[in-house]
Amino acid sequence: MPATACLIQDRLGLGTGCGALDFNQGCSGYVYGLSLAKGLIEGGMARRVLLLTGETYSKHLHCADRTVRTIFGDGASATVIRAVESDRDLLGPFVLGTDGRGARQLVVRAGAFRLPAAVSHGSEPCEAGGARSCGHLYMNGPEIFTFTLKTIPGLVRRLLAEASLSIEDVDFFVFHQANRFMLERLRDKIGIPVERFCINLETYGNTVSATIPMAIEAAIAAGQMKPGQRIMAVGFGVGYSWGACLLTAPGELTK
Amino acid sequence: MGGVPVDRARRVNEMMEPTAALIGGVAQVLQVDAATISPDTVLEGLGWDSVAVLSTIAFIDEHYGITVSGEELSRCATIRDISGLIARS
Repeated sequence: MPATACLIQDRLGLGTGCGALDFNQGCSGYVYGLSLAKGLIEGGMARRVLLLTGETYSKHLHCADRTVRTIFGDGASATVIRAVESDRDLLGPFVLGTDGRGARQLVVRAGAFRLPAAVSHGSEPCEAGGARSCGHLYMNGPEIFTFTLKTIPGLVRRLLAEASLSIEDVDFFVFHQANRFMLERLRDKIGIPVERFCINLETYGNTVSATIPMAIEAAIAAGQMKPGQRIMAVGFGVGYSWGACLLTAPGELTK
Repeated sequence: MGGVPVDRARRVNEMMEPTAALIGGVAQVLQVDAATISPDTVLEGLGWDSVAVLSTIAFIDEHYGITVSGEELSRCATIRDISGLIARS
């Protein structure tokens, strides 16, 4: 404590009339953040929302654990969501979901009341000749992969059904950038054309809640994504938690 | 859209004896010659690590339309075990 959002409010020189809160969601966090922003704006509680994602998973990785060191990177993003008059939905619909039975598959076990971080936890040998402690990130890759293959195609179908759209109506699919292998398998299983499916891992790796906005930014910078296009964002992972929504590519938000 | 429909006949067949297709798929995952492995070859020592398990999950998902548990697949010692897992998944 205090909430990081309170520190950021001060550092950005924002007025004291703005609300600020933290939420901790991981891989699905960006989609959840957009859903909170939409709720705050459409509920009349805010006109503008600054959604920040920031991840420093490097602090959770044991230097000798090759199972996760090759995947994760640190990253952050800032997105402004503001109220505009529009005759169509520029953000949404949303489909969200949770299955806490998967909590132990992607986890830092120490750090809360039952297993305080202040106590030192000895490292133990782990897969691939590495080591970690319960104060470090553990990821059961195969089990997470099974979860995504079972959950994400249905999530995409539900969102399309909710919006009465088909895959052809979506200009660009931006999934949480978990890893290339998983993304390509999900893409092929769902039947999304390669040219409309974003893969943006080479520079930063998996930056958890920051992957979706970082991929959108990179696609716009590369000219692959045009302002005003219909984007599907799909977040999934630690929790297990997942969420998908439609959004309008930034740059031409009015109308 | 969606996965390959489940081929019941093929699943029942898997229960009896691992097919050449499954042996070939696992051989490809492990980057070994399919002729050098049998249904009862012990996979440990042939590079049966988490990456191989991931690739095999993808192969089974694509080929059979079945998503097997990563944890259960990790515990399979032979291709016959994998075959049994597919049959009961």
